[in-house]
Amino acid sequence: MQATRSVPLRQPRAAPSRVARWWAKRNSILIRLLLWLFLLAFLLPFVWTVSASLKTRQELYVELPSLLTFHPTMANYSYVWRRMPAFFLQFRNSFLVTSGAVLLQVAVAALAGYAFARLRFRGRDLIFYSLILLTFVPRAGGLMAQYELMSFLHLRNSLVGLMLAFAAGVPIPIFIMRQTFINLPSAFEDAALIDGCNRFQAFLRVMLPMATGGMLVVGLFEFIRVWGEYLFTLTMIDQPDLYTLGIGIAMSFVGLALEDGEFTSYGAEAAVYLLTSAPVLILFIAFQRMFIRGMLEGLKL
Amino acid sequence: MSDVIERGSEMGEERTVMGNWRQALRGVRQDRAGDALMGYLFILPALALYLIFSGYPLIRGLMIAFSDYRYLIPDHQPFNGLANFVEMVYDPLFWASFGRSLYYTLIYTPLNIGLGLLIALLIARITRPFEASIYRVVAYLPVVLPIAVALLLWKQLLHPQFGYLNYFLREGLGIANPPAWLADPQWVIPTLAVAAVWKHVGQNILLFLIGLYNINNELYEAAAIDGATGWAQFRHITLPLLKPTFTVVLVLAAGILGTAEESLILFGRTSAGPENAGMLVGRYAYDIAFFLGDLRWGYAAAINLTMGILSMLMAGVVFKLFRAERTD
Repeated sequence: MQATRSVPLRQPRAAPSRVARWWAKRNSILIRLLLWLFLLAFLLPFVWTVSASLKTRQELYVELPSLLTFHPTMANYSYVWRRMPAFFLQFRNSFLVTSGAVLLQVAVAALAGYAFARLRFRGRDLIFYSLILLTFVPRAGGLMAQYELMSFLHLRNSLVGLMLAFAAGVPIPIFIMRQTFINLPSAFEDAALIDGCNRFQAFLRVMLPMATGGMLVVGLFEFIRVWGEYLFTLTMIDQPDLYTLGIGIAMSFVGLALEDGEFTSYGAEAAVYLLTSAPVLILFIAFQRMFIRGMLEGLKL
Repeated sequence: MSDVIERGSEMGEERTVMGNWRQALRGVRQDRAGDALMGYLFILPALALYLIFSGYPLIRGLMIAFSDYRYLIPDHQPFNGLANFVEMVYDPLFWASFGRSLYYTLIYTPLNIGLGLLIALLIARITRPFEASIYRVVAYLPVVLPIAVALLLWKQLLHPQFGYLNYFLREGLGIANPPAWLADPQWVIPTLAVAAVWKHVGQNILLFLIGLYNINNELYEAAAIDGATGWAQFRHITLPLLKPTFTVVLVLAAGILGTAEESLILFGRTSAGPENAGMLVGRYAYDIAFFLGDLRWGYAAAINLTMGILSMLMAGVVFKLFRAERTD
């Protein structure tokens, strides 16, 4: 295994040759033009949603096409605030499930990753590589089997059940944590053991604080995966008061549209979409470098 | 008495820093024999979670695929060998949905990989770090969105009357009768595929970018000196060196054939779009398992298994073709 920390996050072509520079100059305008076109395509739905969420009803239907709204209003957000208690309930549910799953997964993956990296025990590598290989096996009827299992354990219609099931996707997180620990110098840990720490103390007090980078990567990917998860949650949760946002926004709006014949409170919908996405968008933008690092790890698989 | 003192002083001489360390190391080495137990204890929580919630369903799911399991009929899960798979062959609804899924995959996969590679190549040309990081963030933005949000955004955008896209087509480009997108059976599958590409292509862009950044620039310089032009460089340097990336991308793409979420989110539980046009094979299996009749889990699992194996084979074949072409 290669040392992760020695791999720079980004290596832009630092010193292009004369030929390359000439080529780049001639084409740089074309390249940027194309890139901006793609950029626009990626951003258009976002821009559209932000502007829709700030529009009044009249603007939505009469001046619909104006992407830039001239009379920005918070009416849609206050509508969500006043009239959609379900949104806040679902937000809370999502938050509980997601934070629970993240904490649990980071904890167990760190423990296991440390063991696979640093401790010697019979069958260690066999267990580790079996875990990794199993992630690539196609799942037949996995959802059905999980439904059966969760019913049996009385974990259907339970936020704790969701938490446990989501935290259980551990092979890749373990892989990332193992890499992280392999790359830490063992001197610190030996020193701690000499000073009378037992293995667990050495792990908790000395090694874990140095592995925050890896834990952050694992936590971020898990947060984003769980926050937006749809199919599993839909299958396991029937009670509306336990809906998470991932399924709630799809269900409540399909329902709303059918009941009221009011097929769009467009603006309020847009506001809900933005509020739903806010946590993951903020996390992603704040830690965007970590995502690249996470993928670097993934590529080593 | 003097004996003890002497021994003490003897030990005292050994008590240098190095001596301490050696002695302690001996102790640590002994401790390490106890590492085995610690090792098992450390992996226990993760392993238990995985085996219960992921490993067991994997095996159990396989068993279900070879039985006539009907969830609503109590204790009805007789082993029926390959009967489910035989039934698939004679099920016109299965073939219709499978056809739609193939169509979907044939649009989605080339776009997802081709566009991913193209945009990555463009971004790799940007040498200013900040500018490049902006492109990367924007490209990855849709990937982090909750899937329901992403699809519902598109649903708004594509609304035949009020959506921005059709407004643009009507007023901007003067097309009198733009397609109704999700309301038109002809357009449902391509629309779903394009929306899915928008959602997922960022992943591939980033993966390809990492691959591109890791290619040593000197290779291009040497090639340029030998007179290799852009296309030749791309074909003989870039593509071969992106091989590991392609493996990852193809493995990640393999699940697409069995996707069930899109039509559930866009059309709701009770519909699969106009004339069932959004009934992909994953959705068909999901409906059989959770909405229709006796909830025929056995049959649904058999369909899922078939799709899983097929998509792995497809990824494998594509990869092989790719490799064969490049080594010449």
